[in-house]
Amino acid sequence: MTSLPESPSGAVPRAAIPSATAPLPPPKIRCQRLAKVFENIGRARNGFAALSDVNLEVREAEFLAVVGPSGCGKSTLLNIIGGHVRPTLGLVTVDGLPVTGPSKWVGMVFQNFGLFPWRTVAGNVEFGPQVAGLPAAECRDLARRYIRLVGLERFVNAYPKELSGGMKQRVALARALANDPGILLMDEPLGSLDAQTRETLQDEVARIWADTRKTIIFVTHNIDEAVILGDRVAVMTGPPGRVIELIEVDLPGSREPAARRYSPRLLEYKSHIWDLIRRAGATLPGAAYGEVVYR
Amino acid sequence: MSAPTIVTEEALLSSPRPNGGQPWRPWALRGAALVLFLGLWQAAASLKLVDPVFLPAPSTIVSSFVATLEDGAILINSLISLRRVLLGFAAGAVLGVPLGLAMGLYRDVENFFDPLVELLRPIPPLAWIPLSIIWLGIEESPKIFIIFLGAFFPILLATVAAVRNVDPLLIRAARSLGAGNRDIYLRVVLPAAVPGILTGLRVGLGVAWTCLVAAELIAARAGLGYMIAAARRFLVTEVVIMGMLVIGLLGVLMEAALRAIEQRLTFWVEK
Ligand SMILES: Nc1ncnc2c1ncn2[C@@H]1O[C@H](COP(=O)(O)OP(=O)(O)O)[C@@H](O)[C@H]1O
Ligand SMILES: Nc1ncnc2c1ncn2[C@@H]1O[C@H](COP(=O)(O)OP(=O)(O)O)[C@@H](O)[C@H]1O
Ligand SMILES: [Mg+2]
Ligand SMILES: [Mg+2]
Repeated sequence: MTSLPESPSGAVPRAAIPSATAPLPPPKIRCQRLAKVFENIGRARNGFAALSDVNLEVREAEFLAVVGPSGCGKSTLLNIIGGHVRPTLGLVTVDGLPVTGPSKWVGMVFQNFGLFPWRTVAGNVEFGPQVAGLPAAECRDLARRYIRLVGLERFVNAYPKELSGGMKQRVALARALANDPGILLMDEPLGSLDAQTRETLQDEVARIWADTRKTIIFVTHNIDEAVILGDRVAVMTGPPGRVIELIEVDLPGSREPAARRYSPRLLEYKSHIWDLIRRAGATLPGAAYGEVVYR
Repeated sequence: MSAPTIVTEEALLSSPRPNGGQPWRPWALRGAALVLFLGLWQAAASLKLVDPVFLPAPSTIVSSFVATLEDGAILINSLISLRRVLLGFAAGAVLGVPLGLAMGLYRDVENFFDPLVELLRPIPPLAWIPLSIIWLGIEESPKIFIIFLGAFFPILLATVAAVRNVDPLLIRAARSLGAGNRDIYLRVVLPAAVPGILTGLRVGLGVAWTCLVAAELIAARAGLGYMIAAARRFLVTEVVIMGMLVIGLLGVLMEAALRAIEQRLTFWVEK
């Protein structure tokens, strides 16, 4: 017998067959029929639907940008994927396993930073390595490296209250990166930066993504930013939040933000996304309130 | 036609300076109030406007203070009272902070202790005096027990509230960085609760002093409260007032010490 040891049935492993119909690799993240209703908040007696029927697949090493007007449920979606909020309905899987809670493999940069105010910049960035039990010297080196990456070396020993909003965001980014998670969820991480710093950090995020091959979901309300950074852009509207279109960004030439920023086709994507959002806003009845009525 | 407004450099520079560039001003005002108050009091006493049994002159009080300082009475009485306050307060903190942490962290612990706490909390510490004499006699322990009761509840409640008020975003952030329950308790909840706990300790210390005189009415043979009560019996009013002022002064000093500790531990709090 000359059967291959790794396939006792004698069949050649599927991956070994080069074929036009080869299945895509399984998605890194899969959201199936996600819905979220916030109960008992007084605004709507029957609960408030923040998400309704969100289906989404994110490939390994993909950069997915999520764009939508504020209040459409982007943060809620990200918090569910990160395991911080339980969906009312539906399922999230990462590597095929259901998400049951937060984990260090799914890093998160929160919209409101969530920095530990009693720790210095270095202390915040060291937190992940510390709870992972790394030796102190290694924690310090890791922190230095990522603080330098986000350009805050001069503030290593500053406390969060001494930092501007943009600097806090960079600390939050460094803190998430220092943990080296396979998946990075970012909730408007560049939202409170000035235009120049924002562009620099966009370049930085793109470079980190290209270097580390992390799977990134990047939430923004800035359409330009979504198109400049994303492999694909998920366009959301709401509430109740839903993904109304998934757009493959195919800009000729480089994948670099610097090149994409000045691509003439950027404007085409931009006006298309604008149209989508505007049309959805006009046609969703009662969408602005997202009230759920149980019968 | 109106003349153009001229903004002088002087005007620009002077406005944002605190206290209008007169840093001594708040202190001068504080000092002035004290001097004025003592001056009027001394004048009223020297002119014999009031019977010295009702209101002895400040100078009389000072000389009685110097006298007790010389024979060591005030020092011994202060140390004895200080010891009671510190022991009662320490007992309140040693029991109140851990129990508060446990009640804040675990619903089950809270539900278990809550009815008891709610029932006992409104009872004024002084109402415990008869019972504490029956239980503990008339030595040191009933006095310390009364002070402990006064300090315990504010510390407990402040600790529970401090744990409850930890920003859930910080806990989420920690969990997404891989923190387990132990890390959450020790590295997030505990440090985040420190400012609230310290406020509770400060309130508890204030109540402890408040309970001191009452506690020292329990068959005491020494202490500031005893000194005041004994002086009243012989109508030595200047010693009564002097004892009150010493209690006030010790309270202020301990409060200042706690405040200094608080500042060192909570410098990171925003705003
Ligand atoms: N904890 C909550 N309780 C009640 N309503 C919430 C809660 N979180 C979010 N919402 C509501 O859900 C909607 C979506 O919120 P969010 O996901 O934060 O939107 P976005 O991030 O897109 O601005 C908003 O209308 C918001 O008011
Ligand atoms: N309350 C503060 N205490 C100490 N340093 C501060 C404080 N606020 C801001 N800074 C420092 O002042 C500089 C400018 O801050 P800020 O005016 O907030 O910047 P921007 O708004 O341009 O981002 C920063 O380097 C920051 O560290
Ligand atoms: Mg949001
Ligand atoms: Mg600013």
